[in-house]
Amino acid sequence: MPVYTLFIFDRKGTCLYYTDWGRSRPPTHNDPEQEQKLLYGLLFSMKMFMKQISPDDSGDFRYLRTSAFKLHFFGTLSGLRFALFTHPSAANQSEALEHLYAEVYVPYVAKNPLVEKGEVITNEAFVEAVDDYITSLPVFAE
Amino acid sequence: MPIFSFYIINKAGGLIYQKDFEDYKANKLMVNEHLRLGGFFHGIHAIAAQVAPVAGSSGVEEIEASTVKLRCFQALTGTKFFVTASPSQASLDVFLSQVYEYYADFVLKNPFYELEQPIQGCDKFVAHLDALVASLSA
Repeated sequence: MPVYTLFIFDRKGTCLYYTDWGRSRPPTHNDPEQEQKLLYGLLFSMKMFMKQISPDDSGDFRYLRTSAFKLHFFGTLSGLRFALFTHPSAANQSEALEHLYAEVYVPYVAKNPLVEKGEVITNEAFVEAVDDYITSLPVFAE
Repeated sequence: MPIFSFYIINKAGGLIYQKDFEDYKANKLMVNEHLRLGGFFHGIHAIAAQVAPVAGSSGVEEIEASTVKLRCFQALTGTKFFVTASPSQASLDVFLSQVYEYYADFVLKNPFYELEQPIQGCDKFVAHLDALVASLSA
């Protein structure tokens, strides 16, 4: 499956949502929490790093690629961070993540009065909408 | 202004060579900041392989942001070469493998060069690097 995993972090580094569409390697030390912390640390420090190497101090991090995966990124001004892992030859999905934020996260979570801030999202409608949207992406069928 | 900076870091994460090619930044980075960036990239490189959802991942090969792109080549010895450029700059892979060849020819074969130490006094290496960057920028 060309899309592997999706993580959503809040500004404090809590992993609000995690889902996968088939990953062949379990989290390091078989500890999902450890993996979330590592990834959040990576995304967090990336912001500083890109700012330093960018010519005008404004580099918005978009993706990171290794030989085995591509990590697409979208961050909001409020500090939410969306990270999507796909196979390395996929086109950049930052816009898809932005859409996921605006059309799925905002209506199902931000506008939902029952959701506590900083709480892991278990809302079934949200889970379903995320799955529907990601599986409908062209990259998913590649 | 296509190519911004070029870095070489040794297998322990120490910066052994760095050069800026354009006055692309108003507030230029100091030597210490470059050293820190080099070490920092070493960390990112290692962590990226740790968070991989699939087995057998290498470290970072490419990072892109809205205004800059970074491309990395790691030699089998663990020495990492990375270059930052504008996102539209093409053929950075070719650039890195060419620089690696220069490194092998003019640095490693220099009898006064000590492995893993900062690259100094390798004038031919610098001259070839400059020429290569100039040919890409043209």
